[in-house]
Amino acid sequence: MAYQLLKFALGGEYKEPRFFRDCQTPKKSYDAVIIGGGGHGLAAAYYLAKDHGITNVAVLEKGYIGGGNTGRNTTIVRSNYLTPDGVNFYDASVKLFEGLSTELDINLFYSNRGHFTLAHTESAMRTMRWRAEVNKHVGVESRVVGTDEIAKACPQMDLSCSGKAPIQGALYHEPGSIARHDAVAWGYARGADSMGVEIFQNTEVQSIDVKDGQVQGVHTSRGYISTGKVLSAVAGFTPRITEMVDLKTPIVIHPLQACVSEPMKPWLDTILVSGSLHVYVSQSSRGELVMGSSLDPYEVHSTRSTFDFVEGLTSHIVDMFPFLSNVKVVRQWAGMADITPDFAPIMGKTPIKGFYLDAGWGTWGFKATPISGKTMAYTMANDKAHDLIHSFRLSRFEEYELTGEKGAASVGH
Amino acid sequence: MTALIKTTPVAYAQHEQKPAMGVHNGMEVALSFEGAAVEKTHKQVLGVTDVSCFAKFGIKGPKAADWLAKQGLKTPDEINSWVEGAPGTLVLRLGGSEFLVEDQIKGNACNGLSTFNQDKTAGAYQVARADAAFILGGSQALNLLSELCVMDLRDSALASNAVVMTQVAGISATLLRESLAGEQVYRIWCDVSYGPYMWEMLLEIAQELGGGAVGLTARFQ
Amino acid sequence: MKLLNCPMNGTRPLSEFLFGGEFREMPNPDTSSDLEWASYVHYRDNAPGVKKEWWYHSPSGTWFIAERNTLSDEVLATYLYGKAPDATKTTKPRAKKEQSE
Repeated sequence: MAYQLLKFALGGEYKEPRFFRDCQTPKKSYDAVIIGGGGHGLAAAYYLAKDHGITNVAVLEKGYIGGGNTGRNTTIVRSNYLTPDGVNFYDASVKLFEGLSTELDINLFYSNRGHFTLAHTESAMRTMRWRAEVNKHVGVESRVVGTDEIAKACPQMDLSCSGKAPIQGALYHEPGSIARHDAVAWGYARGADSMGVEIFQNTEVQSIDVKDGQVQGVHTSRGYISTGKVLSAVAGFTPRITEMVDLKTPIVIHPLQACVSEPMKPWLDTILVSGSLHVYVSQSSRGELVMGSSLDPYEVHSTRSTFDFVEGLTSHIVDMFPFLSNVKVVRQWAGMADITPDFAPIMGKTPIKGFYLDAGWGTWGFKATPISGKTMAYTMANDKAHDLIHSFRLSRFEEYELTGEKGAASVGH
Repeated sequence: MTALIKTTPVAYAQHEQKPAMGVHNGMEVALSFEGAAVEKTHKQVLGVTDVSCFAKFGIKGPKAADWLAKQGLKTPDEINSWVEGAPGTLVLRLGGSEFLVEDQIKGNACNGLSTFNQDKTAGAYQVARADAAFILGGSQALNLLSELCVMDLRDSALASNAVVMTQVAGISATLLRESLAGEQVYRIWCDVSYGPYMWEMLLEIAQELGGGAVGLTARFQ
Repeated sequence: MKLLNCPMNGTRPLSEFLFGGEFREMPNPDTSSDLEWASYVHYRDNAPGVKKEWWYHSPSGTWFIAERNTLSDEVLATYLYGKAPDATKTTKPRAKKEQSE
């Protein structure tokens, strides 16, 4: 070991191997084309190759991989949702996440923290009890806790929130975790690439050919690619892709903003979410406080960030933690969240044969990365929706079978 | 049967100040807080008075102005403006076709309006009004408003007959400026459920600026 | 602070307004099929561009229409429903026909 290290140090060549090939020229045809090189798209490519042996796959990314919402979320992984369908789905994702560092051979810094959803009112407490019961029913660890347990887990917090919104209790979800989000994309990219999947960065899809209701291929900035199966996994850009195949969806794009503080010594072990104060906060392994808030209140298709957001968010953070009043915010950013009316994703087949949709991920996409990849790969390989995503189908809206997940959105939307 | 006496919606927030309460217009309100001398000083610097007890009548619809005119009230011609519709009674035009009539300390028009009969009046609809209402006066009044409201309310910006619907302390409110016994004062109306909050906000800043609560008695002395 | 012009109350900070979603022609609920109604309620052309939207000035209770570019967040015009400054922009049946073509 010591000898190898010495040899490496004296060798003068420290070049890290590339994670995936630098593909430039696409082939004329692929078995499947995935639009969007974020976590979801790359995970779908990985599981297509690994679970279904479909390796003749191209992933097309307009920018660079993981540069969209995969790198813009606040990295929280949890499964304490409200509907049994939602809980089962996200629980499967949490379980995949737990073994993912080993499977992808990359350190995801997956860190189990415990997740408190704070309740400031009696009605919020009722929702917490409801969620806890649904969670327990399907075997997910969630329970309602009192202020003493919150104080023990986070003694730094002002439980009265500066007198404005005293905390009554919380829903505690032990599996709640955080992970390094960009590493998830990189890990899936390397895994998929090693099995033969080709990843094209800086490659924009310009239009999609559909004939007799069946996908024929895609026109890209690197030329035409013929394929019978296309997956759209582009989050906030979904409307621009569905427009190409003339597909209408209930998705509306709202920016979702986040920011981080300057790094400090570790003091916050848990993940805290407050619906009433519209904030969620955790401390990253770098020591920065990662803070998010609710959606911007109206539709905008851009990633601009606003002063209003930082002002509102930080005032509530200071209500919870008065001692943070001198801490600086060092970065803020926004992602485009594709929001659905029932706060559940839209996954699976569409009226266009060979066009699959993985969208409507709004503010809950990162935590679903592994399971959405796995179920979408199944759906594409078999042309049949995976059982776990049946209730997330696009046609649920015209069938008047919405899911009712709204109560579990992490902050009030 | 005794007449029902209501209590001002702001009472809860005034409890700690232990005001002397009294009934005006069927509603129990704070008549005085710290005595005539102190309140007189507050009135000059920055005084806040709860006048939620003033009788109100709301009406809207394309024929609302006609109906009010038939009852002998003057109505404002311009949108978002107000007039003294009858001696001691304000008539506010809220937007295009909605009106708020409020009797002041000596007005008595709302009583007559309660004869409104929906079935016999096409194109006009009564609007139930239960606002919390305040008077804000004194030399520091504008400084207080500049802390709570983004609108420029200086005399040059707020016309003397204008009604402004905006946010004060983050909640929806209706504002106007009037002359009361020779003094320029501001009137604020907000939803009744926000009454205690509004009182607390107004009073907190009033006290910072050297003013305070003024009871109904001192306000109209 | 972003500003928006309310046709009744003038220019105000955005915090006084609520977003009411894209303006859409309502099909007749008595005669439309379930699918038509679902399309009206849920499906929309949600690609970025200039949209007609409902906005609400909450202190005064005024609903109005704003024409806004959802990509650049620029507001091009605001007016009360049915009072578009340009006749071609009104929401008469003719305009509806154009939309469906």
